[in-house]
Amino acid sequence: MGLGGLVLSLAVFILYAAGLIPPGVPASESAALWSEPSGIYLEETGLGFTSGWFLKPENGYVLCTAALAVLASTALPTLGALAVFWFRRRDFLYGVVSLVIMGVLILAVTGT
Amino acid sequence: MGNIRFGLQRSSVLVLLLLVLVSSGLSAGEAGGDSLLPGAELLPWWGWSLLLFVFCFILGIAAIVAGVGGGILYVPIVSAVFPFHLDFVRGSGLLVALAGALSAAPRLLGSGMASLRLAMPMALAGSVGSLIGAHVGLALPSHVVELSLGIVILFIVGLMLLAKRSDYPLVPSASPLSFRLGIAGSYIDGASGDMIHWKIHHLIPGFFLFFVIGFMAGMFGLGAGWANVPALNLLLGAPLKVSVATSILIIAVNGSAASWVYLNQGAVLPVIAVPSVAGMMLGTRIGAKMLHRVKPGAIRWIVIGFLVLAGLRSFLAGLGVAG
Repeated sequence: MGLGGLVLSLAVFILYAAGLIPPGVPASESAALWSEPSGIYLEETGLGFTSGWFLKPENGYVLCTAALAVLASTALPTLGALAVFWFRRRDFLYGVVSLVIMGVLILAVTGT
Repeated sequence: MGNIRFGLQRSSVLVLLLLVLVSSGLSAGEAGGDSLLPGAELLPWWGWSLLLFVFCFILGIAAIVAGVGGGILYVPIVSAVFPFHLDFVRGSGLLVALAGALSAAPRLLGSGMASLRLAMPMALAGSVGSLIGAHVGLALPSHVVELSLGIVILFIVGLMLLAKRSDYPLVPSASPLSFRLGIAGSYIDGASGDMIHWKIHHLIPGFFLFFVIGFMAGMFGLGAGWANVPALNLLLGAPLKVSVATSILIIAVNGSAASWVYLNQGAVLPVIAVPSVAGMMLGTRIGAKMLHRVKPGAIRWIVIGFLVLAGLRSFLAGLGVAG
C-alpha cells in the first residue's frame, strides 16, 4: 500500500501539474506562497481543510493532497490486520495495543 | 572490477560535490523561511520541483551510503537550501521518512530482524508523542521552531559522533514486564551464522523515552531513527540489528500520526512533497545497490558536515542573526 500510495501520488501530481485536471490552486500560485507560513498560505489561497476534506477532493490540489494522505494511512489497515492476528492467537493485550494505536491514528485523521 | 569500483567512488564524490555546489549557490540568501535564493524568481515552479527531486535523490543516496536516515537529513538541509517555509518542509519531511520506512518494513519483517512485540508498545508511546508534537510544532512561532531545530540537529550530530553501539548488549535478566509481554526473540546472524537469543530490560523508561522521541519527530518533521536505534540498543538492550529493523516499524506508525496533523492543517504542499518523496525513495534504492561498492567513511563525514552547517544555520535563524 505504501508503494501504491506513492504511485498514486505521482500519477495524480502529473495530472495536476500538467493542468489535465482542474487545479483549484495552480502549482504556480502554490509556489508563489511556499515561503509563507502555512496559516497565511491557506488564507491567501482560500483553501480549507475541514473535517473529511479527503473524501471530497473537489480539485486537483486537494486530490494530490488526498493521494499523499493515502500514503500516510498505510499503517491503518496493517494495524487492523495485526489486531485480528493477535486476537485470534488469544493475545488480547497486543490486540488491544494494536486497536489503541489505530485509535490514535484515527484521531490524527479526523483532526481532533 | 577495480575500474568499476573506482568509477563508483569517483561518482559518489562528484555527486556530493554537486550537492555542495548546489547548496552553496542556493544558500546565499536569508534564512527563516524567506526566499533563500537570489534570483529565485528566475526558475519556474516546476524548475524548483525538479531541482528538489534531484536534490532529494542525491540525499537519498548519501543517506544510505553514510548510514544515516533520510528523514534526519531532509528537514535541516532542505530548509537551509530551498525557499520553502519550515512548515511545509516539516510536513514533507514526515512523508519522506514514512515512505522510506514503509518501503523497508516488509523486507525487515520477513528477515526476522524486526520484532513486532517490541515495536508495538514503543509505537504506541511514539504515536501519541508525535501527534502531540506535530500540533505543538505547528502552533509555535517559526523562530522558536528554528531555534529548537538547530539545537536538536547539533545534538543529533553529537549523538552520531559519540554514542556507542553495541552489537549484542548484555542484558543480565529480562525485566518482569518485558518477560510478561513476551518481548524476546532469536535470529540467525548472517555474518557469523550464530543463533542470537535476546531479551530486553528497562521497558518502562523506554516507553516514556519513545514518547519524547515521537514528540520531537512530530514537532520537527524528522525521522526518528537517530533516537530509536540508540534507545532500543543502549537502553532496552536489544541487539543492534534488531534495533535498526524494529526502529523502522516504529517510524512507519509514528510518521503516519504526525503526517496527518500536517495534512489536516494544509502544511503539506504537493509541489514539494511529491518530488521529495519520489526523489528520496529512488535515491535510497540506488544507494542500497551502491552500498557494498562505496566506502562510506568520507561520505559520512561530508553528510555530518552538512548537518552541522544546517543546524547552525537553523539556530542562528531562530535567534534572528542569520538573514
